[in-house]
This record gives sequence, structure tokens and C-alpha cells, in this order.
Amino acid sequence: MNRTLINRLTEALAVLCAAAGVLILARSATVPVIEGSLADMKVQVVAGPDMERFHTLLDEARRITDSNGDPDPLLQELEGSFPGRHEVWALAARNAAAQGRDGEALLDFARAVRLQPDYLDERSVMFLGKRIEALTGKVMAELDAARTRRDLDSSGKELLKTAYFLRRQMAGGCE
Amino acid sequence: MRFEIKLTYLIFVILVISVSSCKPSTDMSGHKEADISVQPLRIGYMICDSIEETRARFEPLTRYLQDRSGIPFEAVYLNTFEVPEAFERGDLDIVHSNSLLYVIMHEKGLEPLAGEKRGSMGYRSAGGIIVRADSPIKTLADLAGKRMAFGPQLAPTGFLTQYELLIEAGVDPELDLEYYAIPWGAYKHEKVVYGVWFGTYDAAAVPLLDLELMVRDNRIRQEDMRLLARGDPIPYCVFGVGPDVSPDVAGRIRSLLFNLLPGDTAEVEGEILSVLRRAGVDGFVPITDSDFDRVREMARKTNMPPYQKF
Repeated sequence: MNRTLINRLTEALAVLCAAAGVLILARSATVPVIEGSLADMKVQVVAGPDMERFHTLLDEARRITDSNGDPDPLLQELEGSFPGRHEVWALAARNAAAQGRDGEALLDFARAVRLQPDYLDERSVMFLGKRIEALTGKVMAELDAARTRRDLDSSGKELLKTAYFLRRQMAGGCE
Repeated sequence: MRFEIKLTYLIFVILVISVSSCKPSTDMSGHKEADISVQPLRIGYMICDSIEETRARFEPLTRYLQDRSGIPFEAVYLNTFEVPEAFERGDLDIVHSNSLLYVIMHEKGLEPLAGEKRGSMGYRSAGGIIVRADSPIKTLADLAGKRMAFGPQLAPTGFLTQYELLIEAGVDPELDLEYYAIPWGAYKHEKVVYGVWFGTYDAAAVPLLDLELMVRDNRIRQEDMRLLARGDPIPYCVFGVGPDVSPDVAGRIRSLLFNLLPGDTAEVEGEILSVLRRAGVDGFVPITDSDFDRVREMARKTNMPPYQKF
């Protein structure tokens, strides 16, 4: 009798663990883990025909993004060919934010800021600090819902690190 | 005698100070600078549906820009056809207008500052031709010999687009329609929709954004209307900046527009108002002059300003 009960409890526990695993995997899929360290990102110099291609792709991606279309194929091409161009990540961030993908937007803004700190310089015409600050606050509030850092999965921890990076940058800290 | 010299010197100093403070604040290149204390920057707003509606939409935004930038602004509300004239006279520093007016004023030095996002198509919109859902009209060619209502003549998605669509379909609006009209007064885009709905006209030229808003607010039912044709997407309303405004000032205004968030407010006559919600705008985005090339193409094909030939 007791053994049957124990077996049933074990089965129920296994089902719960599997469900938790699926949930964690689903959550990881919605917030992609940042590849490599932000510190590894290097500014990419583009010239000649590549520059023309870069601007053509970027302009088209911007038009689609701001028309509420789906620029993801173009953005993926840009991210693959021009990962060291801040414009690509800033646009990807705007697109992700417009679609409510806040975590992804935060990571992309961080990449853009890493390559071009003027996004957080209020005197710069490129300043997007108010948007970045609002997004960081929103993501931090969601992460704060977890009781401790241990409660966060790997993508959550990466997101928290990135949010702290942006907060340091906004506060004028050095890296 | 020494007292008279001192007095003359004092008067001279006062005169110099007075004259220098009256002089318009410009930089070496003649641009208007940010610290203008005498002469505010004039923002010309094209009246959309009525002056009251346009003022209610944009007064909080003007106040917000002023409060945040420290630059004094004066809002000027003008009828569509008056906007290019006022800009050419040098009466406007910044202009909020539709894309066709932008193209006209670009010929006189207006440059794009920010695009306006509104509705499902973002910073772009499109024009369409609608008929009643139960209408026997199935194609654009069927419109020959029919009655049609258009929006105002300088409306890119309420007139220009549809005029081009008809010409491309081989229907000359001036010769082949039985009759076409443009309603009088305010809210013309709504009037043309109701003109078709009540059967006064067989078809109407309508901006799809306006139709979208009417459906959203239950002022018309989507299933009661049929979209016969739609034009290419072109920029919706846009902020442009004149050549007299310094790049620094233009950059500060652009930055404020790009950073506007739904929670941002401004105080107008003692009321705290949401800037974006009151303006009915989702946000402002970068825009370039090449975004308007399709509008230019339409204007050339339909013999509209700034390419009109008589």
C-alpha cells in the first residue's frame, strides 16, 4: 500500500519536473541568450560596395520596422553581415520593443550602446536614453519579481547583467 | 562737464545693450539658435479635420517641446493650402504636414525631422477607393460614368493616390466619371465615407487610416464597405525643419520627439495631458527624404504641385 503511494508520488513528481523543464525551455526560447560578452563587441568599419549594401538593407529594414511590418529576415541578414554596426542593433532593439519583446530589445540596445555610447549621451542627436531607461526599468521590475538571483534561469541572469550594464552606462560609469 | 561725459557714456552703454538684445539670435551661418529669448520658433501645424481638433491634438506636444528644450515655441494652425505659402514667406521654422505638402516645401528648403507613427501601418499610410459592400461595382474600370467623392485636393491618401489609381486603370477622373466632388468644411475624409454609405456617391477616395479609425470607434462597420483598390504605402504626417533653424536646435527637437513615451505629459491651461495620447500618435520615428520618392512619382503622374504644368 505504502509502496503504491510512493510510486504514485514519484510519478507525479516526475511529471511536475518535466513540465517545469518545458516551461524553462519555453522561457529561454523567448529571451535569447546574449552570445559572447558585450565587451567582445568591436566596431566594424564598412567601406565601398559593402557600405552601399549596408545602407540599402538598413534603410529597407527601417521602413518595414516603422511600418509595423516584419523586418526579421532583413535584420538577421544585417546582424550576420554587420554585427559591429551600432545602427543594426539600435534598429533591432526598436523593432523588438515595438513588438513587446522587452528582453530582446534590452539586449540589442546594450549591444548598440556598447558600440556607440552616444545613444546615452543627452547632448547627442542619437540620444535614445529616455527610451532605454524606461525599458531597463521595466525589465528590472520583471526580474525583481524573482526572489533571488538563484531563481533566475541563465537567460534571466544574462538579462540582469545586461540591465546592470545599461544602468551603469546611464549613470556615467566606466567599463 | 565730467558729469555730462559720464551721462553720455552711460546712455551709449544702455543703447548698445538694448540694440544687441533686440537683435535676432543667430549663429555665424544665420541659423536660429536655441537661446532665443525674443523670437520664438514658429511651428506650423496643418489643420487636419478642424482647427479645434488640431489645436487640441498638438497644443500639449508644443508645450512639452518647449518645457523640455527650453526653447520658446509658437504654434500656428493653418489650412492645408496656406502652409506652403507661409513656409515660403519664412513665417514658419518647423512644419507638421502631410507628405505631399512636405514634398512641395522640400523644394523651398524643408528637410525631414521625424515621421509620425499612427495606426496599423506605422509611419506610413495608404489611400483606397471604397464602395458599399452591396455595390455592383467590382473593378476600377466600372467607375466610368459613376459619381465619386474625393478628399481635399492636397491630401496624399485622400486624393492623390486615388487619382493615380484611376489614371493607371484608364479612367480619367476629369472626363470619365459622371461627376466628382470634394465636400465642404471640416472632417472631409469622414464625409466621403458617409457619402457612400448613404448612397449619395457610388465610390469614395478615403485614407485607409481614417477608415481604420472610424471602424475602431464603431462609426462605420467594416463589413458595410468594400475596398475596391488600394495605393502604395507612403509616409503619413511628418515634422519638417526649415533652413533657418540650426542643426543643433533641430537635433534637440528630433531627440525629444524620438524619446517621447506614452507616460509623458504636459500642462495646458492647468490640465495635465498625455502628449502622445492627446495627439493620437503612437510615436515619432526617423525619416529620410527618399521616403517621399513615391509621393513625388504620384504627383508627377497626376500633374500635381510641385510639378504641376498648365
